[in-house]
Amino acid sequence: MFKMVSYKKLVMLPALIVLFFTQAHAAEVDLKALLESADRSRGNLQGLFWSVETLTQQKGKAEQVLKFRLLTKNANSLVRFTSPSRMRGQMMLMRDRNMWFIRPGLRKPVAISPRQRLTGAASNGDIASTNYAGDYEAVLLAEEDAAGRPCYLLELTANNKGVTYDKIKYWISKSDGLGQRAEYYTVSGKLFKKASFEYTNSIEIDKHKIPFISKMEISDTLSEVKTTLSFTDIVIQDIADSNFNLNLLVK
Amino acid sequence: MQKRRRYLSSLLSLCSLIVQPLFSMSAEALEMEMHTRQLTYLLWQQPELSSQNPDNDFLGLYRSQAHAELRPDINFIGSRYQLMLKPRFSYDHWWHKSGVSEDDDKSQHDIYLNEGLFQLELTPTLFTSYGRENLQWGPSYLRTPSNPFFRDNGRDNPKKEVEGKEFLKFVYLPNDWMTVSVISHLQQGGMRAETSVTDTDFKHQHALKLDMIGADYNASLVLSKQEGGNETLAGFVQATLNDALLAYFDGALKRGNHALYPRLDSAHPLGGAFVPQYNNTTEQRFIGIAGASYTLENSATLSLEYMYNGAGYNDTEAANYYTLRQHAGDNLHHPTLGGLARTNLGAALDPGLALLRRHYLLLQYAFNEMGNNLSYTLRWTANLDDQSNKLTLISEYAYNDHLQLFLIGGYNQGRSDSEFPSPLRSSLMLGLEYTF
Repeated sequence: MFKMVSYKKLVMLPALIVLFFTQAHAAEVDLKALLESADRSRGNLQGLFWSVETLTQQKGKAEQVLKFRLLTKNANSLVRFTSPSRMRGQMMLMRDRNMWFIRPGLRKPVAISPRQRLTGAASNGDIASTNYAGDYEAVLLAEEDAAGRPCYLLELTANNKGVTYDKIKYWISKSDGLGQRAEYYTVSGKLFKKASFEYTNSIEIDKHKIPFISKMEISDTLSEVKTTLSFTDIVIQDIADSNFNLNLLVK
Repeated sequence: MQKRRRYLSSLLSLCSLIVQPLFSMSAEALEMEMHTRQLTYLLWQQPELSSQNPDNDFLGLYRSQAHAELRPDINFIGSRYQLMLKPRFSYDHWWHKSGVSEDDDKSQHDIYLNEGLFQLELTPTLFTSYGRENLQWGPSYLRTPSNPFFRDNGRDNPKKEVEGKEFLKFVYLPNDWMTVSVISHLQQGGMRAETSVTDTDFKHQHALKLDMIGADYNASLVLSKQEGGNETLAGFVQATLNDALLAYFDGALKRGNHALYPRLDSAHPLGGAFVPQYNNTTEQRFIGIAGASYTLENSATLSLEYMYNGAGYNDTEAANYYTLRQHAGDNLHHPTLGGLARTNLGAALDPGLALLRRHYLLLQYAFNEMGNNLSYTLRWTANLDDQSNKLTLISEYAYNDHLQLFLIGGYNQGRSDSEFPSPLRSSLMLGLEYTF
């Protein structure tokens, strides 16, 4: 009898331990996979050309429109401004957290920080490709609706100092894994920006059509500035690394 | 002028030789981009009548200048090559010169190629380029010690272009985080009429540049050698410490340098001369800039830099420099010593140093939001050795999508025998830039 119980215990215990850890790990992997899916639909791909138009509205001020072509490959982005005319020829290069602004006539690139505002409520970091899966640790806070859809509400905490936001609350749709809403917080826990996302574009990856970001609306909670980024002309194409090399950018 | 014509025709023939077959190979892939800017400004300046320029007789600086310039930037982009041309067409009128030739107005027009470069992709990881370019790198504002080719990094006045020089480059990308460049400086600049120089003192210079980039840092190591012997081990590193804070360092260790140093000589009629006493020697001098810039909540950037210029003059050398300059200034109109005086004043005006003395500080507040109509930079630069300092304001206002107004002002404070107030006490540039 003793031998039987002992044998069962010997078999069951490791199985239970494996089951416990597998379940725990599975939950962690799911959140990461969820973020990876959301990141993919916000531009974290092997190579992408797209056009971006930003519209900034502020109480009592004229609307500002900025247009640029964006080349993105993983953590690298190159912005080529196309409008207004006075900004044509200007470029912004982002190599992960290294960023430079390049103007025609001023050949020395100016090193800039991710916090520096691109326009209105949008920081440089907002147009760099999103890598929340790599840059943040996620915790599932709740399940609630956002933009009329059932979502997982994740709390993302930065795992490195280089990111634009320290803490993010991120609503990801349960049905398609797309980020619907985000709130951005400072280290002290103060809410300073809100964003919402739309995905009416679509792209094809490995013969699968997936929805892709078409609009991002960012509002600054302190200054009441609202910036809308519209994404069009999306082309998925392998981009050579040399496009993101500062030494080879002919200005 | 002949040299310029020769240069332009050789560059165009070279380009046509290379471009023609490439065009025929992949004509469908050719794109042309052209951005043209029309720049017009008025410049007022207040010359300082110091020993460098007594009664404005040596430099003959004008008080006012009107400048109009057309700046087309043309790019032909093929699948494996790129041709960039930046011809410049300018017209200047100067008036109100104080000193002996008072009210001697002057006008001049100029056509030159400021930059013109052909870049070819030999393989996906190996590129070559040849032509004139303004080759700049590094994160610092004050100067760029790691750049052996250009002393002027263009940051003092963004509306004045730094003139290109002729380079042959090979750039190799062994992987995504490293770049190896071999750069040869083959001919000096000097295509502009006002800066056109003769080739008497030009020496080839070669550099090996190794760039590395990580997730939140980038760094570069530059080894360079000038024909004749002067060598430099240089580099820079820049780190993004968090989303708002950048820290950087740019430095160079020079073995031998061609700068001029004052040498007192009792036998010399003017008390001495400026000599390249460390040229092609093993004398080592270190130049370094340590800096940081912090982006505030309003997106403005605050930058602070300290520069140690080991090649600059120490107190004794500075005292000798001003003694020789004073003697030269006093003898500018001397019937027999006038020529020697002009030689010494010319050397004193540009002894070939990045900056004249040893210790400098820069503090800058810049608001340059890209989509905003107004951008401005307020910069204070101090020479900590002679207590002279320089205040600069660079501001631009976008009136509409095409037209920008700009105002660039500078005021230099300090004694006449200190660095920044010479040769100009103040300047003000007011202009329009129209982008077509």
